[in-house]
Amino acid sequence: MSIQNLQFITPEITITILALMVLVIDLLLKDGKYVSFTFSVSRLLTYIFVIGLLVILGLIVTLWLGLDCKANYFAMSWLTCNENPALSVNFKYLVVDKFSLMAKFILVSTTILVGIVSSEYFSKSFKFKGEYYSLLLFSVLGMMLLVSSTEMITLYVSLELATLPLIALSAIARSNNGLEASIKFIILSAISSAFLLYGLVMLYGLTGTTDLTNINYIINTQSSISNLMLLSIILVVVGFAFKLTAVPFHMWTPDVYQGSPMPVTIFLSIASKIAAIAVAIRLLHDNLSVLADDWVKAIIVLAIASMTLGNLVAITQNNVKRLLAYSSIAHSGYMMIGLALLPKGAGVLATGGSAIVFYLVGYAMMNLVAFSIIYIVKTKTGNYDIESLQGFGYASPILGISLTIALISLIGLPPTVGFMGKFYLFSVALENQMIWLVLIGVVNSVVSSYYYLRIVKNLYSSKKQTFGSIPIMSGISIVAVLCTIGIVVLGIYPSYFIGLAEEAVKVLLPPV
Amino acid sequence: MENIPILSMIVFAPFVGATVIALFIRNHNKVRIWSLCFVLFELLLCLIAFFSYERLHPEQFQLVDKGENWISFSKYTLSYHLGVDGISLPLLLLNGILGVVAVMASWKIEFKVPKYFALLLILQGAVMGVFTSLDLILFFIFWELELIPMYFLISQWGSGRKEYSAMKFLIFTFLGSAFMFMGILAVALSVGSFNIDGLSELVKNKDVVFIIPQTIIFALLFIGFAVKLPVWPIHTWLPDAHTDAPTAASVMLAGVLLKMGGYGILRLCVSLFPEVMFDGAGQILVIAGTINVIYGALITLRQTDLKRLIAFSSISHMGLVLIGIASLNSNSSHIGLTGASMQMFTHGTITGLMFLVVGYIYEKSHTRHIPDLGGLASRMPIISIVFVVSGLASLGLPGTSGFVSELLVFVGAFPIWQWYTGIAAFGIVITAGYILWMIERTLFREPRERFSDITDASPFEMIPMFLLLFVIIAVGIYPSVISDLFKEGAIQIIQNATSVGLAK
Repeated sequence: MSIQNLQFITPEITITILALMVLVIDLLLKDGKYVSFTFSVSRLLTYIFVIGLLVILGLIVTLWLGLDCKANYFAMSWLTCNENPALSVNFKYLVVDKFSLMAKFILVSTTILVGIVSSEYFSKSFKFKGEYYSLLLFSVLGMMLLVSSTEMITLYVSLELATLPLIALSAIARSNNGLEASIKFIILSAISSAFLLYGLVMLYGLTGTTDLTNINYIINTQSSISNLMLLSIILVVVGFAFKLTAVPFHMWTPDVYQGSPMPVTIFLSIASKIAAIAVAIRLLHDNLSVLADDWVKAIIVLAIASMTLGNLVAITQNNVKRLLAYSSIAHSGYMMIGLALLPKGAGVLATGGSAIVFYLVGYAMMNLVAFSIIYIVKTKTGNYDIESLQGFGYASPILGISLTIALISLIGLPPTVGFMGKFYLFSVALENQMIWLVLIGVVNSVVSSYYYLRIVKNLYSSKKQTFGSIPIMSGISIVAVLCTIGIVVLGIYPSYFIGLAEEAVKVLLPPV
Repeated sequence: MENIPILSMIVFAPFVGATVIALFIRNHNKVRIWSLCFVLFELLLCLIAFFSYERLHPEQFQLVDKGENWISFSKYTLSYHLGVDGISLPLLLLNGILGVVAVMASWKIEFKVPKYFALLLILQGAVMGVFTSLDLILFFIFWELELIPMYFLISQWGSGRKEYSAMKFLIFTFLGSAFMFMGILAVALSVGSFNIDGLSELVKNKDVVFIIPQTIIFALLFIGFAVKLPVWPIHTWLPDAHTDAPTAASVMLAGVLLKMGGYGILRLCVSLFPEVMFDGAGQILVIAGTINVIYGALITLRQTDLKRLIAFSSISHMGLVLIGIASLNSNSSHIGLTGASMQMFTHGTITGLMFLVVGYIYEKSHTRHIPDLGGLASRMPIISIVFVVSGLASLGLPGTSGFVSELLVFVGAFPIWQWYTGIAAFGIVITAGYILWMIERTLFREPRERFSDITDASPFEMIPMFLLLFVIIAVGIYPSVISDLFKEGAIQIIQNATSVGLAK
């Protein structure tokens, strides 16, 4: 790695600095012990967090353009443009290409929105704001490295870097539920990491390299695929299935989602899923495509189980947070249909992969809206019961409509991004003869309409509850409304974004 | 005239209206007046479209609005593409008329007025979109879009078990459309085009390899439309939805939403896969249609709730649409298909009117339970006259539009399916039975004490009634104003089918 190439990991470097900065500022300014300020420290931290991440977003966009040599018109002369523009910059352990940049962009923008939500979630008396933000940043750092990694040890270390802060975060509110969630989370993520690690170790033992970019070639040169190789693939898939909350490795999801503080739940349900899907695409498709026949079968089974069980169990839930946890399990199932498509050939990868990316973005927005508005209701009524929503749609028309649109989108009805995502995903799947998978998928959407509509029904139930005044100009409300607009806009005119996603996924195509 | 995107205006004017009403108008009376203005404007647009249609060129879609490249992914391109032909144009007009009726019927709604009218307008716009879309996905988007306002109209402004009925309506339709969605994708991905215009040519191409066998695609599409039509045994949502919906929603539901099912069968199932129709699907359709007619009519006899009664009679009448469509044969004439389309149009006006009148009766007498009613004719003569005429139109009295469509269906279907048509014709007798019996029980008999102070329709309430009555009588006396258009549309389908038949 030359020093010149460091520019391509500036987002990661910046985020590390940001995380440490947040920690130090919090240490210095907390309690006014060392330096005293007239304004609130926690607000300062939020500003630093958000502005810092916005800068990182800018860096990511610049890199995206820079990979095409389009960045010259920016005042970014430090970004050297390759003479013959390569689509990716390869370090030994990390690769920076459009796919990873796209994933990073989505991750960072989600984190900004989560940060805004958290700024209002934690009260003034909450002592660990600095720790909270820096843990969040470290977790994002781990995810960003994860989506770039092309080497087993890097992959494993960044996976742990992404997960461990989340375990602390889920207990940060120091409630009993939070501690329970945290314990469950730590045990199960340790188990899943063990599976993954074991699988990776076996791959190393069989191929003699930790470099994933060579692994296809090495396996190809071997005369036959041994049973041990299959076992290692199964272990890797199982490891990812935990992170993807795929059934039957979903057990931790409802408890952890329910027990964690709301912003952490949002982050868990969106960011960690984005990272897991992105790294699964890279590892399984890009690096292990030789063994595709074997892992595709496993993924299909997981997809069907996740969709069906997630939707069926969600029907009986009365706690909205838990309900959305099961719904997110079901949505993982839909996304895994896309994963199962990847090895079907070069043309499919461009469409199948971009369908997953498109679905992920839609899923991120829908979940942000749903979770944050549910949280606003909770601040007024004190619990997450589905009955506590009664009449909220009348108390706050704008938030009511936003939540309704998000739920309609989760069902997959037009004109929302949820419909477009499913349309895109299912049409690619059908094009590749996965008729039964698509049939199960569409029938599952129908099943899901029941429990999402139960929320809508309560939202506009005539039984009135007193909610008091609901501030529409608060950070959470603004995030929710903005994401709702995004849901509708992407639902009506998705072309531009689909174009970007296809561009991002193209880099994973084998060179022609 | 040439350059005005009239169809886009027709589709999106209601959405604009809904936005304006929901966001900017607070005063309830102003909301009502504004929404009336919007639906009248909409009707005007529909009339302009109706009269600017060139009847000399029935073979192509007209008034086409096309924007290329709405969405493109891998090798497929979806475009924003609207157009009408002989089959869709009268249904567009029907939707325009019923929109006016629905708004005027909702004048007395007091609960969440802006939202109510906004949803009503969205509903109308979505249905307009269904009838004009020439892109499969655009068609599907509008098809699904209509679910949401209807769900809210039933669950918020309905009566009785409204939430149950709304949910049932949505889940049934959504399940149907999930199958339809697969069917649409299978067709489009197999032939490589989402454009409805010219799709039948592509489907006929022998080189096309279908992802799913044609028969199954036909079945998937048909299930989606059959739920909407509705076809026995997936009709059970309809009586519940109708009974618990507010009057205007019932009018729209019976008037145009059910027609979407028939329209879909004509536009996609039958036009694209005539071969499947010849190979046994026609038989299934005619059997289903006959069951619908007879079963629906028999069940109707037993109903004691006025709205439920009309809802079941709708099932019976929709069976005739199926029988008409089933008459498609490699050597059949266009009469059966024209009759089926006519039946859709006339049923929309007649049943719309009946629901409207029942709404008024309920509003004034506070009951829809037939044994509680009686002797209304002396208290509300005008409403009673309209009710009687609409009832007679419903049972197919000559001079009303109901007669024309039923005659066309039977004439068209008889040469192909003698037995089934014969059995179905018996349904008319039962229809006469339940209609006359219902009229006798509600309007005549001894006047009741408790109805001594109820009033007749106000002049404002008469407008929508007479508007629909005018259409019913006018079409009954001079049917070709509508049926010529349907005939042109039907001939296109027949020609396509015949060419397939000959190729065999």
